[in-house]
Amino acid sequence: MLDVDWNEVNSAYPTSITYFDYKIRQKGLDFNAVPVVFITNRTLQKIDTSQITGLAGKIVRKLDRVKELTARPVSEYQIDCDWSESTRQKYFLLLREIKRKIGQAQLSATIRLYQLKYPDKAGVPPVDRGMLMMYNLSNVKDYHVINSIFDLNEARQYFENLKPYPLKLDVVLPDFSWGVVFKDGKFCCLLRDLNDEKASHTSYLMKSTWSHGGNYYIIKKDTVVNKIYLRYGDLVRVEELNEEELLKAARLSVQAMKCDSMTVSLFDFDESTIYKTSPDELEKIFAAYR
Amino acid sequence: MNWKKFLLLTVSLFMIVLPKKSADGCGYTVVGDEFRFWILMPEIVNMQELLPFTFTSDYIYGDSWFYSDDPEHVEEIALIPSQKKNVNEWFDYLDGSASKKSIDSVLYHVDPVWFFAHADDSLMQFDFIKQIRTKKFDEGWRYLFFAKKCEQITTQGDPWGEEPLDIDAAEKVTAEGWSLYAQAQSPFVRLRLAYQLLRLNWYQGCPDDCIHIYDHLIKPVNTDSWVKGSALYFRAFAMGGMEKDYWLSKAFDQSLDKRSRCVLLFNRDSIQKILPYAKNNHERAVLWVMHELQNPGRSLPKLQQIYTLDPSNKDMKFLLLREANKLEDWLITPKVTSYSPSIRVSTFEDDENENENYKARNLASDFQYMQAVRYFINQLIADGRQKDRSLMYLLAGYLSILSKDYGNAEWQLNAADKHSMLPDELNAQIKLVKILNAVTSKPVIDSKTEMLILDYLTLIDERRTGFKNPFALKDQLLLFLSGKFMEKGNIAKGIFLLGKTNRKYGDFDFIWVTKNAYHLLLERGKPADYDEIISILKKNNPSPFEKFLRSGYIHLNRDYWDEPDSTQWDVNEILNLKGTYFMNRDRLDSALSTFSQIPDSFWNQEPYISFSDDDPFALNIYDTHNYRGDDRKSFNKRTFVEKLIALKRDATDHPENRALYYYQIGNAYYSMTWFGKYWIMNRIWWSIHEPGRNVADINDPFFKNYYGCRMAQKFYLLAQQNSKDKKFASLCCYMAGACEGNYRQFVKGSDWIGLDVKKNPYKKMLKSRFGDTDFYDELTTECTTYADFIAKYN
Repeated sequence: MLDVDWNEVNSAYPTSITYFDYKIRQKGLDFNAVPVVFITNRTLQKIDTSQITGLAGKIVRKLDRVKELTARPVSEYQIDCDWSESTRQKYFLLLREIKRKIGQAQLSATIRLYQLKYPDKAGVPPVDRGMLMMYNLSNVKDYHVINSIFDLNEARQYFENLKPYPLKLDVVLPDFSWGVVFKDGKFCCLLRDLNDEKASHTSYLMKSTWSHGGNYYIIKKDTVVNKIYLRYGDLVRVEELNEEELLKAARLSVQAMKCDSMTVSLFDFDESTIYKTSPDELEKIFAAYR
Repeated sequence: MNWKKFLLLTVSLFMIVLPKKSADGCGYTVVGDEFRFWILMPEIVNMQELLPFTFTSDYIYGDSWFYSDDPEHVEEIALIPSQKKNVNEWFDYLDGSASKKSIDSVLYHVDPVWFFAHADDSLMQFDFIKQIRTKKFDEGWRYLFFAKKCEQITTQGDPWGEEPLDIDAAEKVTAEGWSLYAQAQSPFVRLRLAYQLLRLNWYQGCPDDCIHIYDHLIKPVNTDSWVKGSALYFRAFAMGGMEKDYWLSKAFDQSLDKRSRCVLLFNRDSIQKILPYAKNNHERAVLWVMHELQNPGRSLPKLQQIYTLDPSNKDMKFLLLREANKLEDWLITPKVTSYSPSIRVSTFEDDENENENYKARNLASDFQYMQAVRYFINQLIADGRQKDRSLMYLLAGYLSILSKDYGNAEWQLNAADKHSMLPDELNAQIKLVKILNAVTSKPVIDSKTEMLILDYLTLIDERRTGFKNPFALKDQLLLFLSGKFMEKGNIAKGIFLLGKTNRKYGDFDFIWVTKNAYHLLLERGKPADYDEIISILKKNNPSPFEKFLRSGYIHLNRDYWDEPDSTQWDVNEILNLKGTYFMNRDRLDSALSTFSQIPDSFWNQEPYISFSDDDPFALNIYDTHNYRGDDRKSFNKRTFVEKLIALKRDATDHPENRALYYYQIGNAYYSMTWFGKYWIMNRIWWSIHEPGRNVADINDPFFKNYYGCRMAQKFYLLAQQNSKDKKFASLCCYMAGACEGNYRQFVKGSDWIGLDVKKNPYKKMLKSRFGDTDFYDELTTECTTYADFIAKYN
């Protein structure tokens, strides 16, 4: 619902806010909504501790706008942040302040794999539940990475000798794709929702013979996509998970899930994914956790 | 049901009949600058900062002119001169070491957040940044960083949307600004720091600080920088009441970027209370200038006052252009369009005896006013206190043309042209007005003048006039020329030119549709004019001007859907219009001769194809447009006339069947009316809203037939008189009654609601003569028995 970043003037500020369509609000939909805010680690690096209470208030007030969407009370708020050892204290303070402001509702936080693996270093956030993120394991900007969304071999390392995590966990699996554009070997930008099937039918893309273990395309003619000027020769690394890989990710994550009931989420389960993912496929994924 | 035709009729029709894109609270309408006439372009005075006050009911360079209360909100176009000045000042500060382009890019086109994020990497691509980050200009770099923060605060407000301003950020940045000011040595940087502090304090609602900063840190600085004038604007808001307006006038006078905003915020109605604050005649003149920039009526008395107070007032030329634009609207708009002036403050408009007379009185009065304006401009020229003499001569020359003083116009325009090194826009304008003089002054527009016109149009097409929106000028010129050609008797060329302009020049207000060249041709054309158009279209060796006339597409004002023009001039269409002209006058032989020159394939296209399943000689009064598709015979406009002529001949030659022939002729004439299925014989458009809205002269023979069915009634009555069959005679009487009802409603001018039983003599006749028959009820009671009744006569 909300992304928070940092700039020199306003300090922590919202870079994007989701606004709900008036028609949707009018319908008064009947479902549980969990508002999520993503906070950049840079924000935590720069923010002064004295500003955290104020920021918590602003975040909760913005997240509470989800109440326009559904008649049901908000039972859970979720905070997504790739915090580091150096920002841990500020982040946890922010979480405590948010928890204080949301009253009876549950507070959850995303947990990345290295935070799962090294709770002593990363700390355990003071929240009611954690949401284990089974994606974005590698640096997307790294030219040499094969698939930054999910790499089974990479992921396995985090589950070796895994100790029980102190929080009850839910899990979110990657069901999205993108193209990572490199110009002269340097990261340029992302092409959202690009997958292998789309890429093979895209006129300005040509399959690259250079594999390097990944799935690469080359821009074969200059073109402008989403205001990005792609030039002949630019490289696009198409990253996605097939059904089998998604299932493997699910099975791997089971090792960390020790509670009786949990939420299994798919990111990004939007319009395109809903129609792409079959009920059978979904059933197989959910079955992995039973 | 004949759905295609039904659709065609429902949406109104043919060629043009589509609603216009503009709308007001009461429906669609043509508004303001869609029809305001002007030829004098605002750029000729070269005062970009005042462009929003061009005399117009719209903002001619776009639709983004907002009247917001935010004093920071200034139209982008008005900012440009100050931006240029600012870039030049930075250029000088950097000793010319960075390009002006890179300075402009960083100052005006780099978002603050992006600026902060990329200060050390991408930003370095600008040579401005490379230079300013050297040690020599360190103060400048720190100021720039600070200024971007100020920009973020003042333009973005509170990013969380909870307060109008991010107060914490503003306080923090203000403190930083004071710290920088204390350290800064460069006068260039100190002036700008003071300016940013002034703005920040203004946004934080600290008027005392604003006064202090302006009075102590900005006012004493001896500089011609744009910053000083702009700062006056924020200083003005630290004052209250009329004193604020006085300070706004100072800001208006001395700033580059805030001039328009000052006028918008100026308390015009209280000028008499503001005037006492003015300290000298120049300041009084400035107040009157601000007052008159928003006067949509006559400004001459105030212009004379301004001139007396301050003969070299820099804004006088802009005000004079505004006055000339007003005169164009008041005097020419009603001439070249069927509209009244788009903006009018008139002495006579509120005349109690509301009639057309006030228009003539306004025109006469405006003509007199023009003479006074012309005299004033000539006085300025003679005094020599105003600069821009070419512009003055141009305005005087143009008004001389409108005054029909062509000799003086020629002399003045030559004087305007004498000066070398004129800006492109002014040069182009003088050239154009000279052409207008040539067009207007001679009884006939000769081929030499036609070539001048062509050359000028080429100048526009090749964008060599210097005008930002030359095609608006082109459309106005085409409209003006069209009017002049028609005025001088050359309807054909006038119509061709009309087909090329995008301007609105008339509409059918009751159906919210604008007129096009075809409509005007049908309204004004005579057979010779149609022949002239056809001759130009067919010529093997046309003159260059004729070649231009017949080229391209016709603009049919189908702008509701923003469709591109796609219709070219077509001989067959002109013949169709000519034949329609003859049909309007019941000249059947001439119509047939004209329609016969059109190949049958022409009738197989829209909209004519939609009429091909209709039999105009058969009529069901309950389905006069044949929506049910009951007709069994096909016709086109040629075969329709052929049969009509044949029936008239048969009626003469075969007395035994005369009654039936007259009845069918009556049906045909009925079908050609607004009420009938074959109205396309008479018109090129149709709307459900037509009758009963005072849409036409009730004494006009054509409209008597088209809305009053007089000709149809004549033949139904002949049929009744000649009938020996009592049952058939009752039908003819019934139809004559239907025609009478239509006529009465047309004359009455109210909505058509059917037959008026009490006053319709044929209804009475029907009852008195046939009321006791067994078929009377069959004829009059319901549509199904009626249909059986008429079957054998159709």
